[in-house]
Amino acid sequence: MFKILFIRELQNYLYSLRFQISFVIVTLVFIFGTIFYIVSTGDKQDNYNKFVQEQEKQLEERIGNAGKVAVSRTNYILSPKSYAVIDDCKENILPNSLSYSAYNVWSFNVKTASSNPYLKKAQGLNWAFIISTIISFITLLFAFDAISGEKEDHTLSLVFSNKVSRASFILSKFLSILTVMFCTILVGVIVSLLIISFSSKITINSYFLGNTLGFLSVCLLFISVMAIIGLLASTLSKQSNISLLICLTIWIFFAVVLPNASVFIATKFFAIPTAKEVNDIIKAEQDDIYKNAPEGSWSSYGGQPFYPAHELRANNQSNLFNAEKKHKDAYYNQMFRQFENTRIVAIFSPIMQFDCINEGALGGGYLRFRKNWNDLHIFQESFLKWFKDLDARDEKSPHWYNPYEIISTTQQAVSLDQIPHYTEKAATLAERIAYSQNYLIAMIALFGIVFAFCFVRFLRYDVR
Amino acid sequence: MISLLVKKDFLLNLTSARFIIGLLLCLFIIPFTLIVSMDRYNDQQELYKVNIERAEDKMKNSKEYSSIRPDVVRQPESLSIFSEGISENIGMSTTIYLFQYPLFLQGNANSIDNPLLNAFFSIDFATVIAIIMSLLALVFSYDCFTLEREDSTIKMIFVNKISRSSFFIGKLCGILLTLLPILVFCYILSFLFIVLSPKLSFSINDWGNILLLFLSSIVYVIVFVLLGMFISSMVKRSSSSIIISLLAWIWFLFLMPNIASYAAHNFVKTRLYDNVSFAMSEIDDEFWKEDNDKNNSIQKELEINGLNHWNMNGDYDGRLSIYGGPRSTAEFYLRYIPWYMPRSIDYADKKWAIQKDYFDGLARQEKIQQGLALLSPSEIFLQLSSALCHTDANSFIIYMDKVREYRQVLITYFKENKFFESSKWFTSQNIDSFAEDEIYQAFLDGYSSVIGKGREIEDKFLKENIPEEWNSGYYPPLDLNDFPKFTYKSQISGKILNFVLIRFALLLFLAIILLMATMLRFRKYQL
Repeated sequence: MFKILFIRELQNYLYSLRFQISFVIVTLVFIFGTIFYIVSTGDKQDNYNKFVQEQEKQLEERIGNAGKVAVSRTNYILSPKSYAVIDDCKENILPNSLSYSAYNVWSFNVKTASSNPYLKKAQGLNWAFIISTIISFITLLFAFDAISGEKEDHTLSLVFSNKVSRASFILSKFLSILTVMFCTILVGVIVSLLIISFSSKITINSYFLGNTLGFLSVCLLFISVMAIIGLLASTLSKQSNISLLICLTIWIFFAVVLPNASVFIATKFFAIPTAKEVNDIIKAEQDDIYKNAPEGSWSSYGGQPFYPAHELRANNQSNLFNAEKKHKDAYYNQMFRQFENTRIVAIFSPIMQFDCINEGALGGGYLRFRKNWNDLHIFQESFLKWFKDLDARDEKSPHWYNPYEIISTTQQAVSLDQIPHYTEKAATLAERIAYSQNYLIAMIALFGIVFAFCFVRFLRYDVR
Repeated sequence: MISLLVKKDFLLNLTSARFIIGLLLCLFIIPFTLIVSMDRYNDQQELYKVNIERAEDKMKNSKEYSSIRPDVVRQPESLSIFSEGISENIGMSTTIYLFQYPLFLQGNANSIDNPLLNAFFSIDFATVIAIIMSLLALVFSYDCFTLEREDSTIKMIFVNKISRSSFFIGKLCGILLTLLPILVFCYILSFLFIVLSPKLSFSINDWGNILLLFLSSIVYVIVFVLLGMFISSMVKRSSSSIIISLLAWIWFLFLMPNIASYAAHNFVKTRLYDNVSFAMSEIDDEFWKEDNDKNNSIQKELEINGLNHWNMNGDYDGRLSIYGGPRSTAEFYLRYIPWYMPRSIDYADKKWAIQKDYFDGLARQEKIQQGLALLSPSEIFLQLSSALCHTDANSFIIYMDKVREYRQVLITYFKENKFFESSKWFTSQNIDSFAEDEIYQAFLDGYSSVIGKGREIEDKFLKENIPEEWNSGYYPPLDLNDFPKFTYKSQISGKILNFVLIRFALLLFLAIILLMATMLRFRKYQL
């Protein structure tokens, strides 16, 4: 009986107007999104390659003086990734530029105008956006009248005049919605992959296909949650238009209210000091250092590294540097905690859960940023060690380390291949699982709770 | 007869679940949005005060003209509580440098200093109105014909002496009469928030803009009501009508803005700003080369071998603070700065050509995005709202033009007062009180001999040998009463007014087209 019900539901959905229009819209958006992505990815890659070339050119200009290599700040920009067609993980609006030298990893920033500041922030037309915004909405449109609609049409009582269990009925409804929606996604993804395969700009390799499969699995779970929420709304009312209003209210809450309340939640519930407050503390400490610095600490003598006051200058600059680093590093950690705490809100919205799981599955977004931030700190220590070793071997250097200036450390020439180079490492599988697991558990738990509630409601539903 | 129809529809709607749910939705979301927006505005105000204080402090403590880099701080728009526009993308202040044109405002526009929070989106009153009111308009209108047809009441109505146009107008007015109180309620709530907030103050112009915003909201709601009615007149079943209406809603509200933005990025290519910076740094390199030659030639002319300073602080923008040291170094700067500053300003013009090219690309992208987004009525409404609230791209572009004009005013001020040629540019110290070269060398030799013999001996030596004039703390700050100040008042310029009126006319035009199309369709509607 379950099979008959399932096939009947499937046919109903497939012949319905809502399916036809939704299918066309979703497929069109997949096509638009992929074409736009292909066109833009070449530019992004070209821009990035040019940036890397220019940076190497600048480094070449510095190799005549190892001190300059150590002191100069370099911006490490996160490269564009092929998974952006699946989900860009908001990498254009998350910090994507890290500044470092041999002495410190200075700061992180959203690189200037990585997205046009004169345009309102918008999510790209990637697969994840299509699923989280459009498919989630359409799934609710498929499910809202699954029960209440049948009741209004008096077909529900007819169905149950046969030997049909309520469990098979609700399960057939759920699975048919899931099948229709998943097939819609699958068609969109396949069309998108076909377009990508015709373009030479992205190569579809096993890594990319692995990411696609992972993404589709997350999609399946996500639309299960949305479908069961829609069914629950349908069991909550006897009229389909009330079920619809419940669905729309839930969707607006998940997709609009909760995500947009995050900044407010962050600043009210997980407040951290303002940059000004931190800078004031740093300034007060630095003022103290200025006051207590021995006379001559700002003295310099061009071309005379061993000029005695240079040692005072190096000590003074190091003290100023340490005062800043201590507070800034602590502040950055507070920022990370604030962001992570704010993301706890995601537990309550399946749409936000979906975004976070994807980030973990693809190893992008915040996970990628934090990994680079941590790895860059390890790299910076080895970079400084390299410079100090070089400096120790130079008799012309007084070895007075100054994080800002080159006047009292080695100024010998180095070759390009001698200089340590930072390369990004992708997040490991264990790191990705660790990142996504909480959101995944939350999504499964949400599905379980809503499913149980929906089932109990339907068992008591008046089908007459 | 029309009034009867209106009354019937109004009463039916008023007692419907959709009215109660819609009202509850507004009752929850509108105050929440207003609280968030006002909180953000208060933060911005606090930050504005801090930035202004910092800017004034900087000016107050300047002891050399080269150290004066006025900070321009943009006052937060009180109307931003209605529409935030792009203000969250744009910073709040910028420092005026002579070696480079200011392109954007820097820093955060509010007190959120954590760049990671940039990943979250925020919402404002206009967006909530755009989302909720359009949804409610569709939910109330999607079944206006189909339901009557399904219930066969439409036939009964036309048994009476009622024309189709009267029925249509009755339906339209009935729905509007239900929706407008919700809209008015939203605005009254916002009005109450404004009145009760001690930190918010609006000028008469601002109230005028709010009134215009309210009128636009009414037209916007009418457009969506007519869209729902049009769809209802196209199909026979309410279930089809609601599906088409809601898919149209998600297309206009959520898809079209993204498609427009994504397409704009593809139609107009822009460079990565870091690459723009590299191109600018190539011009800088050219300048440094020229500078190096000039520096050496002046040193040669003055017969100095390397510059020597006792207290020196400076940067590449020509900020130079020199106190103490040999007189030859001070004389060097007196010869060098009159060449260095005008030349670096010339090079800033060269760099501006590159910046402008980049900026024009961004502006073109923005124009294309705005143009494409006009295909969505909600985007027309949002563009209009941000323009009325001075938070759209045009307002920021006009503001930055004014900031660049101010930089030009500063250059003229420095030139007219001949500060580049004066020692006041780099020191408050009298040139005569710099040490003769031989005396300074003897002092350095003496200093080298005491270094390492203990702090007390070193301090004693320095105390005996360093005059007070060699310390910047000895001098009072500059008197800057006649220094040019930046002033700007947000107002609707001709360009922005044009922008607003075009969008308002577009919404009206859309409403008229939909009205005519729906009436035509309804005339042929099968009862």
